[in-house]
Formats: sequence, C-alpha cells, structure tokens
Amino acid sequence: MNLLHLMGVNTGVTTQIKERRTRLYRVAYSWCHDRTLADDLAQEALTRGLSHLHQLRDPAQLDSWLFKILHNCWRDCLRCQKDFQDIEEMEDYLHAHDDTPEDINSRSQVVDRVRAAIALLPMGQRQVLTLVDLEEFSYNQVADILAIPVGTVMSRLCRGRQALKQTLIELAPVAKSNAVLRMVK
Amino acid sequence: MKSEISNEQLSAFVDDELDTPEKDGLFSLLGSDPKLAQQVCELRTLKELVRHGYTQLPGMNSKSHWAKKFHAPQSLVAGVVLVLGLSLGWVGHDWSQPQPVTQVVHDISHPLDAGALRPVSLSGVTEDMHKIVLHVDSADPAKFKTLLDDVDFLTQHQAALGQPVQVEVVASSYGLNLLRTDVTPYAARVRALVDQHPNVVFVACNQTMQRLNKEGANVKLLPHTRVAPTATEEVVNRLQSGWTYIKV
Repeated sequence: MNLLHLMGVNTGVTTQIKERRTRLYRVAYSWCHDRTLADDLAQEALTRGLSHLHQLRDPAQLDSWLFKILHNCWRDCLRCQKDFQDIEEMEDYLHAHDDTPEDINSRSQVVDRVRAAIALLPMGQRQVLTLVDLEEFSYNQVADILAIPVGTVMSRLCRGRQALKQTLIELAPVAKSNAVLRMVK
Repeated sequence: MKSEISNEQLSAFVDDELDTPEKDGLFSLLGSDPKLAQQVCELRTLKELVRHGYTQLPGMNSKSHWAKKFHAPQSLVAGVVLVLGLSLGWVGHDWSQPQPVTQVVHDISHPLDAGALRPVSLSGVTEDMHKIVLHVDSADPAKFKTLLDDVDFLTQHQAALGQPVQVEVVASSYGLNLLRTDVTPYAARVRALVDQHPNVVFVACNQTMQRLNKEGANVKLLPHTRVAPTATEEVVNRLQSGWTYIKV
C-alpha cells in the first residue's frame, strides 16, 4: 500500500507510470541488453509520452502507444549510434561487470542462455518476439507499435522462434558436448 | 494433414491469436498428431523461456529503490495513522480543557527554567491556512471590533466552503481587556462566538494577569477562556505547529 495513497493524494497516474516504467525498461533491455541504455530509453519514452499525452486519442491504447514511443526512441538511438560505434568502448563494456562473482555464479545459466539467444536475433524479430512474449501484446497491437503489417509480425515471430528453438532447445546437447576437455599438447 | 498447419499458425495458436474454429481444428489435430503436439509444446517452452529470461533484470537506477521505500506494509500505515490520531487527540484535549489557573501559576513560578529559554526555529514548518492564531495586545475597542468581525467572517465563510478553520485569539497586555468580565465591551459577542463555534478559542496571557493582580486589579475572565503561561509562548507554540499568525 502506498502511504501517499492513504493520505488521499491521487497517486493513480503516478502508480501507473511507475508500473509502465518497469515494463518499458524490461522490453528496452531485451532489445539492447544494456541496462544503462535501457534505463535511458524507458525514461525517454515516458518523458515523450507525458509531454505528448494530449495526443493520445484512446486512453485504453495507452500501453501500445507508449511502446510505440519506445520503439521510436530505440530507432532514434540506433540512428545516432550508427556512426559512433566505438569498438574500444564496446570492449570495455564487455569486460567490465558490475556483478560480483557470486552474483554471476548464482544467476541461472538458463537466463544467460536465453538472453544470449535473443541477442543473436535480428532486431526486427527480437522486437516482435519480446513484445508478444514479454508484454503479451496481440499481433495487431504489435503491428501498430512497430508500424508493420500483421503478416510481417507473424512471419518475423515465426522465424524468430525457429531460430530460438535452434539455439535453445535443439542445440543444447551439442553445446554441452563442446565443453568436454580436449587434450592439448 | 500436417502440411496444412504452418509454423506461423502454430505460433499464433500458442499466442492465442486464432479464432475459435481454427483453434477447434488445431486441437483435434493435436490429439492425433504427437509430432505436432511436440512442436506446440516446444513453442510454449520457448515462450516461457523468453519470459523467464527477463523476469529478474539488472537493477533499474536508484530512483526505483528510492520509490520502493515509500511502499509501506499495511500494518505500518495503520500504526502511523494510529499514532497521528492519538497525538491529535492529545493536543485537542489540551485545547478544549481550560487549565486551572493554580496549575499555571505553579508552572510560571519557575520562569527561567530551560523551557523558557529554548531556541525557536520555524524552519520546516508548513503554514496551514486553516489554523489561525490572532493576537491582540491593544485596548482599542475598534481593534476588538475588527478582531471579532474577522473571526465571525472567517468561521462563517469557511464553514460555508466546507473547510472549517480553527481560530485562537490570544489576548495579552492591554488586549486582555477583551476577556475581562468587568471591562470588556464585547462579553456577549465573545460568549456567542465560543458557544456557536467549538473551533474558536480565546486565550488569556497569564503573565499579564499576574501583573494586573499585583497592581491591585482583580482580574476575572469570561467563562471558557483558556489561560496560557505567556502570550509569546502560546503564539510560538502555535507557529511551530504550522498555525498562521495575524496581529490585530
């Protein structure tokens, strides 16, 4: 229970925004797999959403509207990043972890594998898949959010799942066998 | 038979995007085709895996942790409300009960104790426009009239708005005349105000009363008048509780 709520302050909107922030963050993270960037994207989407709230025609469509904004933010971000991919910085990021060894150890390997597999998907498939699976949007909503036809949503989703299946289910035993020690002389 | 079902349809089935006849058809096929059932099962597993992959995310920024702290369990909230209620009740009890003069005299017999010299700060106090302390220290009848007119207006206007105000009139020095039975020109009005509005309180300054008594005047106050050790202390206490101060 929220203290402010008990005091009679109208926290409905605030609570809704907080909830949506977490959801936006989750999807943004599944797209970019970078916590700082995901946080920025969620924040930017909320900021744009709040400042253009008057443009929202149907309040029931708030969710898909916000995710549409998130998609736009992500596209803007990709556009900006295109010319400035600094390989050295990427290396730094890849090798610098905030997590302690205990964290890494205790974290389920499954989660890592899932994230790695999703990160391998082309961006279009990744977006469709995460919007459908994480946010449970209908195909029509996803088509609206990403501004693509429903048929494209279905085909991307299908191809994305096939690829994931390859990585996560069918290749799993093979991946295991790779770990066998080999003699090195 | 299996060729009729595309991978896209299977995905749509898992996502609950098929209409009822299509679903009917697929369900009947699933019963007879173990391989198809296996595919559906794998798709469902994949869906769950994706969700599982993003259930626990690397922490959001510190703002969210900060926000979490404001979510208190229900019992804690109830406790806070109870304490608030008790303290309000205690303060209200103090207001409504006129304190016996003897006790106040006893209190004032040590005017230089630590309490009398405490430092006063109003930082962090938020002003409440619905709690007003009016201070009068002049014997000018015109001022008395203004004061009583103001109190009348305030109480009636705010009651009409549905936001009742608490008013406390503190009389000290020559202003004490307002509350002295023998000299006040407005005994009836003060009495009527107190009778009509339980939120209006008249407070006399005990220091002034002591001084007048020493000078030989027999100070008798109107009924229902509360006595405070000193007007200054009363006003400062009220200010610290967020009351609004108006000097008449």
